[in-house]
Amino acid sequence: MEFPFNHVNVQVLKDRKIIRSFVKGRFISGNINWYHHPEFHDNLYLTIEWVMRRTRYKGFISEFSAGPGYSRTFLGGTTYRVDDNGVVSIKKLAGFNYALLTIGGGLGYDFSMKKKLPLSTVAKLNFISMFPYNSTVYFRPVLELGIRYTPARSPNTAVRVSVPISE
Amino acid sequence: MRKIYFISFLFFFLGCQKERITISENASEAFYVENAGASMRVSVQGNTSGKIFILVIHGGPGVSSYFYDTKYIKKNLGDKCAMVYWDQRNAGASQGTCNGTKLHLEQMVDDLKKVVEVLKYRYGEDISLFLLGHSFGGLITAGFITKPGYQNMIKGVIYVDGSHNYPLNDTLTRQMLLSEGQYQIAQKKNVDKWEPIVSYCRSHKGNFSLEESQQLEKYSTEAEDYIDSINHISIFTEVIKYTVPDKYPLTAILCNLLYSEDSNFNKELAVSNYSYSLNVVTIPVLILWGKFDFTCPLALGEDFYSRINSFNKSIAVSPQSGHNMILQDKKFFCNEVSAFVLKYK
Repeated sequence: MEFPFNHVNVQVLKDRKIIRSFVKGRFISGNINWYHHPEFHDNLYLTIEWVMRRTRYKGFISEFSAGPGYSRTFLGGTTYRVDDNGVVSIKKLAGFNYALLTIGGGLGYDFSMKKKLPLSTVAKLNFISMFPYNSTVYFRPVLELGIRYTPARSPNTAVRVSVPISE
Repeated sequence: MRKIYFISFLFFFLGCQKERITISENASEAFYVENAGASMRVSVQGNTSGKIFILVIHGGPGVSSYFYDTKYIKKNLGDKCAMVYWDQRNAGASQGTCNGTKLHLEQMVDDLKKVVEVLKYRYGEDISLFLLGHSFGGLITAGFITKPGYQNMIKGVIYVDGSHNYPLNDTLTRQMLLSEGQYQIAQKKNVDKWEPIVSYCRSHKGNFSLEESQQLEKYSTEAEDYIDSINHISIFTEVIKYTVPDKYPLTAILCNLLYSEDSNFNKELAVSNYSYSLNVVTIPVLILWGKFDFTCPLALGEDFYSRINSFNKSIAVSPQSGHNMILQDKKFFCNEVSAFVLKYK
């Protein structure tokens, strides 16, 4: 879920002709993520990210994001406990809570720029770090592939900026 | 709708953690043992129906048991018995939060006891369980079998290039580096490589600090590269080969290794010594050693052999191995282990 924060249309002019045009967007994004690593853990994590995105006139997207989060892992197998008398029991929903930081960048394509499709597709590489993980920090690269649906553009934050270049 | 999503997620995670116990000739499963702030992964591979289990206690501290689970062992030992790979606390796929203060030897011996108890709970009290301790795992094994009553929980011990006495280990490593180094220099083999090692050993004669101990360990790993008779293997290639098919949690393994290598725990290890309590050991013991193991020299295995009071004990030496006999002389290793467990099951 993304909340637009700032939206700037930039047009670079030369002899009153547009030679380059792009949209600079700033968003606050709330995400629910999950991955499954067999026999290791499942990780369900929530993040709030600051997103900087640039969409070219032809539709190509590049973006950078960073933010904090919260992670809850679920161990990838039955978890046993043994008490001092040697009695074994099973722990339900075994796993850990971690603080999380994420940083990443991605590339994609916005179909709404050329066609009237409110969709965009993006491939994003994130690095998540979880702590305290065994008294240290756990790093993990995560590749996200996705399709985004944009119901409507936010009208109240759009600003149009033209940058003329003289010869 | 939100409630449905929540319940679906809950069922999914509960499903992943549902107890599954496979009794077959080709079992492959993993579970976790939680103890004192650590959830430690235990993987069981091979023949569980034969009721013979070999629990591998990996080296390190901080190395993972994933590296011991090779195709060759699966094929040549896994057909007769179940290989159990336990990731110690703060190692491999084991997980936790602020548990660094619990990283000490006594705690790890207690962890091992809990793993043994869970194995018996899952597969039956009647299983024949053997411990296989390698390198640092030898120290945990020695700690376990010298605890009153603990050796009765197992059928026997396979001791592979292990260390039960770290101060003695350092002394023997220095002696071996010095004597082999001088011999190699006299033979004019890798003279430029051996000279700094020999020089270091000459100037550091004993009562070693942690830094000196770590330097000797570094040289002992390096020295293996300069011995022609060793079957050289690349650990890096082995890791690459198994990372994807065995689904290694590579970054977790790395983070745990870096933490354990730097932890204060190593100061405790530097003075750990079980030599004087080994006389209580009476169960069958097989000692396997690499002839060119500089990290834990053969004399350490001989010290272990002479101190235990087992009636059934033997020592076998691989002429083409260094510290990693399990990978360097796999055929020798599997044959010896197989014969031992079938005899004393």
